Parts: sequence; structure tokens; C-alpha cells
Amino acid sequence: MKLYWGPGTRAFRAVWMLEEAGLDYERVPVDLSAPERSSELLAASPMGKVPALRDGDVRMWDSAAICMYLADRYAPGRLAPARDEPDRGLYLQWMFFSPGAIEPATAEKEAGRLSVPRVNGWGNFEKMVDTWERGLSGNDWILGDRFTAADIMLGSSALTMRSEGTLPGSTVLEAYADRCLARGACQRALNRFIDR
Amino acid sequence: MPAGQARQVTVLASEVASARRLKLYWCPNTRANRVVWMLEELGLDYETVHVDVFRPRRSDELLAVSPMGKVPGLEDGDVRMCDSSAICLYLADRYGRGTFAPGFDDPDRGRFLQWMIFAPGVIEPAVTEMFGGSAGDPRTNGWGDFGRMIRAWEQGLGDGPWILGDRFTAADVTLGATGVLCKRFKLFRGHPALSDYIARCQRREAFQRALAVDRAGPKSLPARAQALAMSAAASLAWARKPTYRLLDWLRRPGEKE
Repeated sequence: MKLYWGPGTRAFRAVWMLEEAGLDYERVPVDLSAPERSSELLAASPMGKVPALRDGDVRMWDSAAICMYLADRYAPGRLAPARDEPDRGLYLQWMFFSPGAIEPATAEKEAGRLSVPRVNGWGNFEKMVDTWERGLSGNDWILGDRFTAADIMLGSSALTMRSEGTLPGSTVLEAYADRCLARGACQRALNRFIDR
Repeated sequence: MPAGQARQVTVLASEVASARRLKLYWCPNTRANRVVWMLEELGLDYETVHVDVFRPRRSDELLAVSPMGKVPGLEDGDVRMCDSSAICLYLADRYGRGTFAPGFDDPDRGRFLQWMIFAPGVIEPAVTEMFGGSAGDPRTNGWGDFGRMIRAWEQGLGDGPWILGDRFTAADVTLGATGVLCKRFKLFRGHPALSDYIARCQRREAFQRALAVDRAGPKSLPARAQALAMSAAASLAWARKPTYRLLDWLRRPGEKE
């Protein structure tokens, strides 16, 4: 398995996921400052973005899609609820929350753009944070006691927002980020490639 | 082979039986429509519960399913969830095994998931950003920017006819439904391959049935009048803001009780 990677990018999520799943993988560093991308990367990721993955015949990009793919394929029932488990619906809903709600809502707020919460799928920044906090509702992880790939997505969003200073003063989300950091696989992902 | 077939039939029968409990929180002219389309593609039985999106308050029943109070929301037995893309993926995995979603070990699975993320995670933020007139940083934004998004979509489609080639999947439902809106806003000028793709989606019977569900609208008269106004607003960009304001204003007295 080959992971196209760059430091300080969403590729961190895929590394954390691979470490949680205990999989063997090869890292292919991508020079993100170069104007051109290799044809090898573009075959997996047409926008030239990292992370991208090659697993046998599978070539794909997008951190959320990669985490979903790896969890279902290599850690079913563990890092992803099985297709017929009652938790499956909520799990998928939260897998879409980072790319579909957290990131656009944060970008909109940072750009100072007027938000139209009725039309936006992500509501607005405040609604997004409120939904996230209530989703955790006093639990350690987003599905309760159970750590899943959805926590990798949400946890990495929390860690990124903390380092960029966009995580709102929320004790719930700060504590969640700390719990994620305390995991061995998260530490390995951070230390292995000095990805801070 | 006959044994395998028999097992498949049993699985489908039990899943169709459980499908009777499907309840969709819905409002015409919202992202709920793509879930109706998905349900129609899968041939499932479902009940629609109309949500008046212009009331500031949402029922506890809806909030239990969709914490932001957004439609669509889905109830399927013990499963309660929201987010149109997540719901389409859930339904396709659970009830359209192998046909509307490649299996977990199918080589197409990776690309399929990547395209499932594309509508909410790339198209919608890129289009919103463009309409908002602010260009973010395409290097750090997961969605790049509008131009990159369109090129990736067009290139991904290739010769089609569907995003995974010959195979129609749930990814075509989320991309198609988002594409219908892009087409309405004339964003596909100079991209005939994408226009044709959306036209193919619109010609599907299940798409037409979903459109009929939206057009028939909710059963109560005030809700129907409102759905009509929203549908008019949806096709005329300039009319949207005044229509929303008018509907908000009309709603106000009722909310005071």
C-alpha cells in the first residue's frame, strides 16, 4: 500500500488511520511547493491533492474517503460499524462532518463571508460547533465508548483547528482533542514523520 | 450458483421487510430530494414526514434525527441519521448491495467513496465560495477552487456514462442532484460532458419519480402554497431572497402563539 503524503496536510489523517488499523504502508512524500505534480500522483488524485492512496488496483484520494475505505476493508466491525449495525448510520453521518461541515464552516468564518445557514449544508460556524459538542454529549468518542474512524476525522479536525487558533473556547472539544492525542496510534502518526 | 442465488433472495427479503420502517424527514426543493431519488432507485418503501423549513422551531422528533434541524433526516428502525450524502451511502450499502454501492472489497470501492465525498466536500464549498466572491487558498482548501473542481469532475467522468463507467451508483445520485443545481445556475457553460451527464441523470425513471414526489408536495394546503413559492424561488435566482423574506414574514404571527 502506498500513501502519497505531505507534511502538515490532511495526509496526517490517513497515517493515523493506517496506524490505528496496524497496516503496512509505504510513504511517498509529495513536494507540495512544486508547481507540477507527478503523473503517478495525478492518476490517484486528479486535483494533485494529498493524501492519495494506492492499494492494489485501488487508486483514490480524499482523506475522508480513504479513512472510510480502509476502515471498512481492513478493520470492519472495529474502526467502522458493520453495514447492518445500528451505529452504521451515525458513523457515516460523522464521517461526512469534517469535509462537509467543519471545513466549509470554518473557511467561511475565517474569510468573513456572510453565511446563509438555511441554504448551506453546514449551517454556519456556531451551529456546526454546537452540533459537534452535542454529538459528543459527555462521551469519550463520537459513537459513545467506541473509537472509530469517525474520531480520526473529527479528532484531526480538532487538532488542526487548535494549532491554527480556530477551535472556539470549548472545553468539550479541547478535552476531545486531548483524548485523541493520548492514543498511541495518533502519537505514532505525529512522530513518525514529524508532522506537526 | 443456485445455492448462492437462494441465499441472496433470503437476504433481500429480510431487508425489504425491515425497510417498511423507513421514515424520511423531507421538504420539497431541499437536499431531501436526492434521498427520495436514492429510495426510488432502490425501490424501497418509505414514508415522508414533511418539515416546514421556514418555521424557526423544529420538532423534537426531527431534532433527534438531525441535530441541526436540517432535512433530510432518516429513521430506519434503530438507525437515526442526517446528511443527504451519508444517508445515500447508508441506503446503498445496506439495501443495494453490490449494485448501487460497490462492496467493501470491490476494486471500485475506493473511487466510489471518493466521489461520494465530492458533492458535499468539494462541489458545494467550491460553488458557495465562488458565489460569495471570496477566493480561498486552493492549496489548503480540501475543495481546491471552482475551476479545479470542474476539471476533476469532468476528467473523472471521462467517457461515462456514469462516474464509475458503465455502473450507475449512489455517487451518481449525489453528483447528479448537485449537478442539477449547477446546471440551473449555468455553471456548466463550456462543459458539455457535464451537461450531458446531468441530462442522463434526469432521464432516469427514479429521478422522474422523485421529481413527482417534490412536485406533488406536502398534503396540507399552506404547506403546498409554500412549496410552490419555494420552487418558483429555486428556478429564479433573483427571486430567492425576497421570497424567503416574504415567507418568513408570513410565518411570524403563527410563531408567537
